Amino acid sequence: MATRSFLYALWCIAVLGLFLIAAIFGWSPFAEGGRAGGGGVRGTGGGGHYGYYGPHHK
Amino acid sequence: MQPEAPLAPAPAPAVRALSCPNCGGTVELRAAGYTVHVGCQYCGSILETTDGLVKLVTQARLAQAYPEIPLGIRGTLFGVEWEAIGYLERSQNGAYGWKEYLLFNPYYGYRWLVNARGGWSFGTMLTRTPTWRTYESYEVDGAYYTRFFSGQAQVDRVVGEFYWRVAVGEKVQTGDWVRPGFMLSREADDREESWTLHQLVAEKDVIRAFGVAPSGKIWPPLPHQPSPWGAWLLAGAKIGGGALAFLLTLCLVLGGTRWTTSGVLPVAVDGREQTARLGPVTLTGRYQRVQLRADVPRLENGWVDLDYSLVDRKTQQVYAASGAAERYDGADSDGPWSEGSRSSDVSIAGVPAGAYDLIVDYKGNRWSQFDTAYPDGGWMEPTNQPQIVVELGTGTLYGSSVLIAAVLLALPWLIGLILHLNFEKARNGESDFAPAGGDD
Repeated sequence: MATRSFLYALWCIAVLGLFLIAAIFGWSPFAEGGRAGGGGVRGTGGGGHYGYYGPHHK
Repeated sequence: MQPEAPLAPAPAPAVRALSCPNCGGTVELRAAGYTVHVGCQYCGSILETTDGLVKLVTQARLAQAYPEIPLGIRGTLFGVEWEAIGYLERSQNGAYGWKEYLLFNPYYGYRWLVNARGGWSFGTMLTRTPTWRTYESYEVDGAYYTRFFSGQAQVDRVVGEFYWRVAVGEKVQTGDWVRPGFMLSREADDREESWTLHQLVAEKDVIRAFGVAPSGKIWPPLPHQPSPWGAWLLAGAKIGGGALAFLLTLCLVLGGTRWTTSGVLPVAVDGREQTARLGPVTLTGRYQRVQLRADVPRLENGWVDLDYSLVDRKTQQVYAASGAAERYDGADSDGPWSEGSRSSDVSIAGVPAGAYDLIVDYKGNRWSQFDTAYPDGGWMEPTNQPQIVVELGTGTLYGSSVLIAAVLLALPWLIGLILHLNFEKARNGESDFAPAGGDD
């Protein structure tokens, strides 16, 4: 039982550590945009509209 | 010369040997003076030994029984050395059999070692009647036991010696009440009622004491088998709760967005692509999340494409994101409808400190259900003053990261909870009093 609790505590510390690292670097896997591939070239990042424009409910 | 003092009489031998009147086999009495009946291990006959003579009570010619714990062997349980002197095989009218070993120690008396489906319990006969508390519970020494089994038990095989007149086929009414780790058993016939408190014994302790073979996993669980996850759930709730509280504190300290820059961008009525520059934008954090929000207050049946480029003035490094705001409405046979949003919210991750220009490439569009002809210009009509309000803010945390961290923190505990509930469901499903719909 103590082993389980110890491992769970380790897991929590690891998750919180990764969360803190993500916070320090302002990073998220779900961010729409980020650093563009080529320096000095304007480009489009993620998050825009793709495909069909117009209402979808009809 | 003084004659020598007479020697004290030799102590009676601990084990007394009898000869079975039925088969002639040697039957050993290990608790002579206490034993009433003894079952011949060779032919299964029951012998009475109360008056010093051996009487044949029940003649039988049964196949030899081979108890897993040989009678006469000694082992230590709970700090006391016990000798196995009797062995019973019992069942519920021939089904769901279990095995009972009668243990004896001259200073502590008798105990039972019960093996049911590979699980071991150490039974102590109670000298008092448990207190009836509710329709389904009894109390012993402040502990409550919930009803679990009710039925009839019979003796199928007898080997060794016993302190009462045991007989193959003997039947008693039984009832069992349980709490984690313990089972309270009642046996009654038309003459007497007896209560036994069984304590679950770890298999390794029985292996160490009597050298039995491991039985493997017991499933479904025994009635009084504690959930292996139950105790951990409480400790895990404290650990996980503390971690979640820490995460919440971090959110309160580091959360939020500080809006620093904004601009109003006019939308061209002819639908051409336009470019605007906002800045300079100074980012002071070592790394940050940059949030870009666009509101198009007049947007109606159309959309706006937005391409953001955050350009570092020093290195010309570009951090890019795209967004779109689209809004539609109309009316049909079901009545008026609307869809979409007049705003767009996107973020750029991991932007380092520095001075930046925000370049916004944007384009207004109109939508028609039938074509794109807008005699009046639609929402982009100049008199409508179409415009986009762009705001830039900075922050540290992402809501999605908080959510992922919270799920990962809770996940092991939730898995433990599911395993615990599955264990309890399987355990309770064995009960004669399981709710309707439970596993039988």
